[in-house]
Amino acid sequence: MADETVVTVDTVDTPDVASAAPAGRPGRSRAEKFDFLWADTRAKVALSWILLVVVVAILAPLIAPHDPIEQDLTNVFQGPSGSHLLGTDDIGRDFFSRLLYGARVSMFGSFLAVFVAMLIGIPVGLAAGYLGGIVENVLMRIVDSVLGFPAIVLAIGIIAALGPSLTNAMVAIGVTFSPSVARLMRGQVLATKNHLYVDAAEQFGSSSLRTIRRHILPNAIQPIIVQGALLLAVAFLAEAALSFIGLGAQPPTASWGGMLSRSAQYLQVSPSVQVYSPGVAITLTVLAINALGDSLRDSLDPVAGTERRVRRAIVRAERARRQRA
Amino acid sequence: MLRLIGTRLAAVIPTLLFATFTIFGLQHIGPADPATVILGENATEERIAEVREQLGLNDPLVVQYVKWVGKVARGDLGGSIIRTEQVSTIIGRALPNTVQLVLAGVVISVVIGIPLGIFAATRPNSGADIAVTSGSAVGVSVPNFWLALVLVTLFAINWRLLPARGFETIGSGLGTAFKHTILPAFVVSTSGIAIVTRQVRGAMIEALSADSVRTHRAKGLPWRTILWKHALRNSAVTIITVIGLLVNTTLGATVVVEAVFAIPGMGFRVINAATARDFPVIQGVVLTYVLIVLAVNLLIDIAYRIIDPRIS
Repeated sequence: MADETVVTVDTVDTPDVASAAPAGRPGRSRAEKFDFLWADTRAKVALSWILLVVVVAILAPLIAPHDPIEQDLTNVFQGPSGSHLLGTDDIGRDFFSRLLYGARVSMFGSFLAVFVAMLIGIPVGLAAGYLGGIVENVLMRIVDSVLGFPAIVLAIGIIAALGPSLTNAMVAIGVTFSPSVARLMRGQVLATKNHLYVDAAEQFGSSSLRTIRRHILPNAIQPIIVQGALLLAVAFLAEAALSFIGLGAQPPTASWGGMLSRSAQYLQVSPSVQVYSPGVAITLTVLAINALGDSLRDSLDPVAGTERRVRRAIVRAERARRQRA
Repeated sequence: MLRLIGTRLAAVIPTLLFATFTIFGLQHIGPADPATVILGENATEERIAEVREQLGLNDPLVVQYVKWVGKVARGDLGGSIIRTEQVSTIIGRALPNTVQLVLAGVVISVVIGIPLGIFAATRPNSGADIAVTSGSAVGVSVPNFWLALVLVTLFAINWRLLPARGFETIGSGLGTAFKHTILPAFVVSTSGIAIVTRQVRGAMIEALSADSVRTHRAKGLPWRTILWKHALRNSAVTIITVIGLLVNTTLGATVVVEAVFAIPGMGFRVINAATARDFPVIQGVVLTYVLIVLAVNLLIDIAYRIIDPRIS
């Protein structure tokens, strides 16, 4: 049934997306650029879930029924009830309120990591691709070396040096992500910088910085945005994992990974809903971010987007044929 | 072939050099004095001086680095700060556990992932294909430590089929080792299975759409031969690449999963060392991880050339 909806929406909206950039007008308006998200059911569902988590993260102090760090030692390991929707944890804190507050930690942490990765990766990639020569050689050697570390292990090393905290943990994760951004950025610059318009700009006396900012960056940035979305999903998992092993968000701050760590310590006595709910929240959010990243990639990559539309058309035709038969 | 291995080894040297910079630099990037960080703010002056001496912190950085690399090159990783043991002894004990777990994880990823990918590729866009594709999307999105908790709850606590904690290597009997390995190995392979499935599916769809496949069908070759002999061989390069990637992914996955199952492996050690800021152990473990990844990359490079002679 769900598939059926996908097909219908696709049929109706696809032409709109295709004609969203009328010839003769340079580029699409900001609003039109994001039209595709509403043309794609997968993206629509994913975006709705992400927005829900973001809203919960922002409004947590207003909507949480209890204080997330208020202990009640007479009421520990309670099952779900009217006043405690998901029960209470090992020191009597309201699990549902902690779940709502946990969204803040995860969202803030994963965006921070991606921000750091971009902050390092984009300039490095730009410099390597644009300047070439020895700069490129040295930078890319370093990039390849960092890629040789399993990311989480390098991150753990950096956290050990900086001290365990959510910010340090996510900066560390951002650092380990930056080589992949740098590598992609370099590739994009190499593909862009030989275009005639870059030559023309330089001939007309545009400075290197201006050329990069006005001509190369805007034409090279799209895949980086997609990469950012996919890294956000990995960062989200990494935040949960690091908080789980005690190197991320520190108690008493509520984080999904940290909550699972406590449930794990008391696996035999914790209400099972407390073992499941943070994990389901993490899985759904990561799934949604990944789905959104994939949709973004499809929409920016005309070939992949077309392929997907063709595949769907085939599925539709097949289904129609089977129904007739 | 020997020349190839030689040039590849030479290419590894700058990477390794940079890795040693990074690993050595780890304890110096923090804001505080490493000795104070290790001992805490309340440590006595003498104890701090003692540890500074033990770590060689009184020398200039360059001297420290050269001394450290010299010792590491001879296999001396120094002594742990919180345990009275050599780092190499700790790693020697932890490494077999992690290697067994990673190997089992990679094998599971490949054994489940490749057939699943082929299965989906031979019936693209069918219900089964969509199920497999969605399954692999979930596979890369589920946090492995949480999956570990759920499986421990089911298999160890509720059904009492498997042990919840601890680890045994092959040395202590195949049956015991299997019981302790299967659950954590499956958990570390979840994203691996998903990655392999996705890549194999893509590569096989491409291989099956080649003109040669149409020719083979036209001349009446059985479908099974086309699939397993021709198409699969044309996807081999992709599959080898994925397996190389897989070792890195699985190695990363073991870190947290070892903590859940209390497996005394490298990940478990590095987490404890990070919490206690036992830098010699952290450095030793991270270096070991890097060496493993580099060695695997080298093997993959060589495997490419054996499988596909066109690559030079």
